[in-house]
Amino acid sequence: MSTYVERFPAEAKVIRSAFYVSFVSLAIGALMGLLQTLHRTGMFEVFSEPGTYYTVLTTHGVFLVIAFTIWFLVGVFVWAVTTSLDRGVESLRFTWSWYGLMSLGTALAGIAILAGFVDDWPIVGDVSADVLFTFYAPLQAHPMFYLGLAIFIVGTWVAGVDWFRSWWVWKQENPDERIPLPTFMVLTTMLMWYIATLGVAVAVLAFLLPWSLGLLETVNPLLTRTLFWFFGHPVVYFWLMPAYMMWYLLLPKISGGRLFSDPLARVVFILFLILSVPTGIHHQYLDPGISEGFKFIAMTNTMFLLLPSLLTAFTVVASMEHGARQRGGEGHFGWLKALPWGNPAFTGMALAGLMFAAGGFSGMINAGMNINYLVHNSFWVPGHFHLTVGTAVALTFMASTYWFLPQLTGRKLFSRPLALVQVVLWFVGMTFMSNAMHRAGLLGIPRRTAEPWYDGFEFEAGVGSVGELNAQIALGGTLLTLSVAIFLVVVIGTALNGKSSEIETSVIPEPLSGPEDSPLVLDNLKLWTVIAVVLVVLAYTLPLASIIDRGGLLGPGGRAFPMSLDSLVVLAQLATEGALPR
Amino acid sequence: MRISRSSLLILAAFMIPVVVEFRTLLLMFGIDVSIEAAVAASVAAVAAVTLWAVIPARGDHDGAETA
Repeated sequence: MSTYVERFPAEAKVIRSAFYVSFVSLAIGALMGLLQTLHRTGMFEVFSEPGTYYTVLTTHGVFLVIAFTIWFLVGVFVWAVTTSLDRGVESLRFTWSWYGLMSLGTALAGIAILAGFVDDWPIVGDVSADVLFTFYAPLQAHPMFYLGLAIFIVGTWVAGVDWFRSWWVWKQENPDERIPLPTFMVLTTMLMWYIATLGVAVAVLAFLLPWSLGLLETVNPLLTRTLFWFFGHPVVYFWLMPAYMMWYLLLPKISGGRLFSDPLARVVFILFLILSVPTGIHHQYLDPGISEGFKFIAMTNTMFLLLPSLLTAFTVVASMEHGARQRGGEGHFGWLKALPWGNPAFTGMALAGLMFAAGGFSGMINAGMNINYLVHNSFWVPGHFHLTVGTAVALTFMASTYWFLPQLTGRKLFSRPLALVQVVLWFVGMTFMSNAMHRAGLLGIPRRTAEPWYDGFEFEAGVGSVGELNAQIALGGTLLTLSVAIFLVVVIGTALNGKSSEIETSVIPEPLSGPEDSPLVLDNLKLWTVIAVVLVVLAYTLPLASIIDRGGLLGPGGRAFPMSLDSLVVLAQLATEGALPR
Repeated sequence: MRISRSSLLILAAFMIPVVVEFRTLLLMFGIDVSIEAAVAASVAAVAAVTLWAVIPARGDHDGAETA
C-alpha cells in the first residue's frame, strides 16, 4: 500500500474529478490567451468586433484564475488532509456535495461568460458577462454569472468545513499531537479564504446580484471595487499557498532530501493568514475617493508580505540543497548539478519558484505607492501576474500533476521527456512574453484593450521597437499554448496508460527540524484568526465608512454598461456631487 | 556527453532570459545591437554550449550520461 490511490481509492476519485475540471478550464482559458495575444500584437485580426475581445478576456481570466486554480487546489487539499492525518474524509457524500456545488457554480458562471460570444439567444435574449475577472461595477453581468460565482464560493466554504471536520475528529483521537504540517497549511489557507471571501460575498449578494436582477437601481462603484479588492488580492494567496505547499512538501522529497524546517513553514503560513487580507487597497492607488493615508497603510501591510516569501525562498532552497547533497552533490554551487533536473515535476516547480522571484520584484514596484503611478493599468501589470499566478502557480500545478497523476491513478506517467519539454517550454514562453509585457508597460502601452494603437501617436521603445516587443509577446504566447497542449497530451496519455507497480511511495519524509522544535503557540489557530480579523478591521473600517459616507451605500447613480466611457459618466457625477477630492 | 540531455535542456532554457535582455544590457554601455545580430549571437551561444556538452571531455571514454 504505497500509492495514494491504493490507500484512499474513494478520495483519489474525488481528486481526479477535481483535477479534470481544472484541466478542461485550463484548456479553454489558454486558448483564449492565444487569441488575445495574436490580436493585441497585430499578428492576426482575430476579432471583427472590439467587444468580442472582452468576452475572450473574461473567459481567459475567470477560467484560469478562478476555475483552473481553485479546482486544482481543492484536489490538492483533499490529498494533503487525508495523507497527513492518515484517514479518509469523514463522509464521502459530504465531500461530493461541495464538489457538486462547485460544479454547479462553475457551470452557471461559465455559461454566462461563454454565452457572450452570441449576440442574441432564442427565448432568453442577450446573455453575457463581459466583466473581466475584476467584476466590479459599473460593469454588469447577467445574474447567472453572479449566482454561479456565489454558489462556487459557497462550495469552497463547504469544502473547508470538510477539512476542518477531518482535523477535528483526528484531534479528538490524538489530543497531544501537533497538527501535521500539510493539514496545518490547508487549515491556515482556508481561514484566510473565509476572511477574504467575506468581501466578495457582500459585494455579490448585497449589491451586484440584486443590481443585475433589477432589484437595485444603482450601486456604489467605488464600494463594490473596494469590496472586490478586499477579496481580489488575498485570492492571489489562495492560489499561491497551495503552490508553496507543493514547494515545501514535494520539492524536498523529489530532491532526495527532507524539509529543512517545519517551524519556519508554519510561521510562513501564519504570516500569510494574518497579512494577506488587509492589503487590497494597494490595487486602488489611483482610485479617487480613498484617502492617501489609507493607501499608505495598505502599502505598508503589503511590504510586510515579502517576509513569508523570502522565508520560503530560504527554506525551500535549503531543503533542495540538503536533497542534492544526499545525492552526492558537493561544493558551494556544485550541488545544483546533483538535483534531479530530468524529473519534470522537480524542474517545473524549481523554474516556477525562480520566475516567482522575478514576479516578486515587479510586484514590489506595483506595491510602491509612488512607483505604481508609472505602471498602473499598463501592460506591465499583466506581465507581473503572468509571472505570479501564470507561472509560480500554474507551472507548479502542472509540474506537480506529473507527481500526482501516477499517485491518483496507479498509472505510470506518459512520456517523462515530453513532460520535461513541456515545463521548460512554459519557462521559455513566459520569459519571452512577460519580459516584453513589462517593457511595453514601461512605454505606457495600456492593458485591457484589444487594439493598443492610436491615430497620430506612436509608443517609443527605449531599445528596439514596439514591433519587436509585440513579436516577442506573440512568440511567447504561442509557446505557452503549445506547452498547455503538450501538458494535456501527457495528462490524457497517463489517464489511458496501463497500471504500473513501479510508482514511488506517496509518503512525505519527516522534516530535518520537525514540529517538536516549533512553539506550541504556532498551532493556536484561534489566536492567529483573531489577529487576522483585527488587522482587517483596522485596515478597512475607516476606508469603507468613508466611501459609504461620501457616496452612499447605493452610490450616486449612473447607468451600468460594460464600456469604459460610461464609467466616466459615473466619475463626472461623483465630481459634480462633491464626492471626489478636488 | 559532459552533462545529461535534461541538464543541457535546462541550461539552454536558462540562456533565454540572457538572450532576451542581451540587447538592453549592451545599450547601457552605448552599444546598439540590431535584432538580427542579437538573434545570431544567441543562436551561436546556444550552439556553443550544445557543442561543449556533446563533445566528450578528454579521458572520458564511458560514453553518454543520459539521465
